[in-house]
Amino acid sequence: MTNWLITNADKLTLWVGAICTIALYSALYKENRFYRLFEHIFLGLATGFLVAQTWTDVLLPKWWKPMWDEGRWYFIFIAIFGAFYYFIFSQKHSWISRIIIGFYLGVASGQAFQVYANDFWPQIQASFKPIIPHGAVTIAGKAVKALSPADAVNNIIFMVIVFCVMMYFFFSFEQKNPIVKSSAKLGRWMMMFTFGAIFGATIMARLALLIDRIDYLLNEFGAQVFGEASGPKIVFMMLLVLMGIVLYLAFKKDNTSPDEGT
Amino acid sequence: MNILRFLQTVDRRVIYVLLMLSVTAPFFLSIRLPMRVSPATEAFYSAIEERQPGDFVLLAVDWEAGTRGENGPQTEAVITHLMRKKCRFAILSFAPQSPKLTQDIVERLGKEYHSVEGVDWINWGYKVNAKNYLKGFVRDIVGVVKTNNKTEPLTKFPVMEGIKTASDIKLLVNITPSSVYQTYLQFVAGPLKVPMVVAPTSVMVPEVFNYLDSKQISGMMPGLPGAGEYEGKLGTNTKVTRFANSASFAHILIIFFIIMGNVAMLLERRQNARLGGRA
Amino acid sequence: MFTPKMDGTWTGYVIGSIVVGIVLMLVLMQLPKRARKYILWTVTFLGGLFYALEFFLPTHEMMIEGSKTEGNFLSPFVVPMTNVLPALSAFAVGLGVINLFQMHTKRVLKWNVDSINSIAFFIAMILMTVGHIMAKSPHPSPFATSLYKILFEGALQSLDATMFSIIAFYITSAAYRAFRVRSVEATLLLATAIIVMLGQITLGQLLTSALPEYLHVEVVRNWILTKVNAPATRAISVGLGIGSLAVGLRIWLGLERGSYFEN
Repeated sequence: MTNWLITNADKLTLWVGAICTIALYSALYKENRFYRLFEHIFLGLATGFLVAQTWTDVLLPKWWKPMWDEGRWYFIFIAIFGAFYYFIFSQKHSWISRIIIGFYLGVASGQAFQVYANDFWPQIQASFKPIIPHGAVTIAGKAVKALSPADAVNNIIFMVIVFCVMMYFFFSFEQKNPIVKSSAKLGRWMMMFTFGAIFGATIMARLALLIDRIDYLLNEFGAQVFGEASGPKIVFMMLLVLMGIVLYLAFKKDNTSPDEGT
Repeated sequence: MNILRFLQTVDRRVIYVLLMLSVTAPFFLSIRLPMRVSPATEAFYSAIEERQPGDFVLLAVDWEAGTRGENGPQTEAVITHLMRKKCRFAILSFAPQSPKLTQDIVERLGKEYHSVEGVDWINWGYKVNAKNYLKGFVRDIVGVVKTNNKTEPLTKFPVMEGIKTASDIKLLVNITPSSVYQTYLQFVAGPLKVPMVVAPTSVMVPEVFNYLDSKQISGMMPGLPGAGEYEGKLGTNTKVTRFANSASFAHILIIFFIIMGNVAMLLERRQNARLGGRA
Repeated sequence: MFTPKMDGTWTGYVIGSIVVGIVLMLVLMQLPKRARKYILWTVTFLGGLFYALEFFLPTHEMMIEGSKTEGNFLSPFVVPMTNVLPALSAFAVGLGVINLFQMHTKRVLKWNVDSINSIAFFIAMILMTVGHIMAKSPHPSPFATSLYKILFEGALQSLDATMFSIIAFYITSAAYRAFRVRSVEATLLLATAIIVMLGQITLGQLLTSALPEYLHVEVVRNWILTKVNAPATRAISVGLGIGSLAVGLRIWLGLERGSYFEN
């Protein structure tokens, strides 16, 4: 058995991958037990991987080895304070877990200043852009690029949009003034461009993942299991048959449910 | 049911089948349409192209199999470029699967470019708690990382020669589907002025443009299209070039369905208004 | 006392520390309710104080870990903190695992149709944990390497990638059903989405290739992303940044009301 596994590991990997892919895609037709089973297998594998990886890559080199191999006995306190997390399972003493969680909240809060200084402050600085066209100059020994009229207009548009969107989120006073109201309205419209861009980008992101899966089925599984030349075509035919079955089952009189789920 | 109502309520399984066809069938097309390189990708390419042989690059990979479709080709393109430029690089990851996924790509490409583990590249493995980790990492790389992903001490590898602090890193490349690039910016690139480029998944591209504008990052490879553009610059021809056809047809299908639904809705409204009915 | 011990005293120190830890837990368990808030507040404040001070205090040139760098009196402690904090947070991984174990054990004990799924979960988890640790050992056996390859590359990678790729179908169907232009905002959103989508595909770029360059869809897309989307995202991002700094300060200084500091 073990020798068979070792000899056929590559082929088994491909078959397991293909079966897992089709099993999850079966949910597109209808929720079914096959899908549920593989969903649970996925959960088990992911959990096992996370636990094992956390041990081999984090706890072993950062805690166990320093404590056991290098004699740093005081590292046992890491395990003791780490055990505080597990008080969350006690109804009476769950507050003890908040000590360690609170410590990390405090650490994150303390680091928030550096986060702000290096992430958001440069963005505020960069929002102030030149709006008067000029040629290339040197100021205090620093070369400044030329600014064309088109770039100047773009910079004005940029700053107006930043201002208007910020105005939309300003709730410290009621927005009664017509300038404030119209800026906020313009800001809302500008955000629609952002949301449209995010939507368009999301479509590409999700499609890329689907395309990668199809590539796996056709060119990795198909080519290596059924041959380079005809493998992809064989798998394509199999997919066509599956699609035909899905459509047939979907349009059988008792199965038609156009609005069921998305 | 009238035709306009039908066009707005096509069965979802028909849509799924058409989407599957639009993605699968183009794999058999041999048309290769050129892809124009965007300024962001051009800047990303230049950031690596300007590196000298022997420069140390931090390859921060934080993707898992779930985003392999986009981050995989990006990683492959970046590693190809780094190996061609003979730059040393280290793989660091805050996602559990990343070290293994990236190592597989590096080992495969390493055979082609004669790039040797320990001499030209090293895998520092999976770490947790990005903010706390990077805070100390920037001051003492060897003292914080300690070992590679096989628990061998870093000091024995020639690739680590002269690398003590994050100031010795000449370029930070972050390939990620999450906001970990912000943590690298906050704790490594920002304070130490290490040049940084980001290869995010497409869904994050709109937000990363903000950082590109403020020059906090030097370049960006936007998702799968960016990987395709990058490959065009490198002159390589991998599966990303095949993906472009499928992406095109699938996009056209989705746009068609959205427009069809809206046109049908508008025509139905007009019809109902003419009949004096409810829109 | 806090030096590495390589001799027989190591065991004594470790056992002593465990005893101290147990005593500490017992003391905490006996504390009155009104003391809890002060302990939580103190621990949170001290956790943040180190990093806040290390960032704000003036720096001067100093040697840290053999390298010349800028720092203050707290900076030499940053690296030891970095070595400890990730290990401490790694212990939390057990929380999710215990939760899953509890849930699936209950399902197995109920013994119904869904119990098979829970058994599959346990088998997969144990196989992956053991396989990973065996494959990552200094001298892994061929069986361990093969098993790990099948589990990681074959199963886990495929399941993970497929699970995410299913969203493509759902997003297509949802966009078709729900994306309706009923207002000016929705029209702007749709128009932008279509331009961005066309600009990122080769067919889309081909459609407008005969037009002047400034009307090429990929150029328009780039302009929208850099000159309209970027400032809007900047405004939202800066607002979020200021908000998160404010919330961080409130938590650090113990001003936050709610279930965390209250009982």
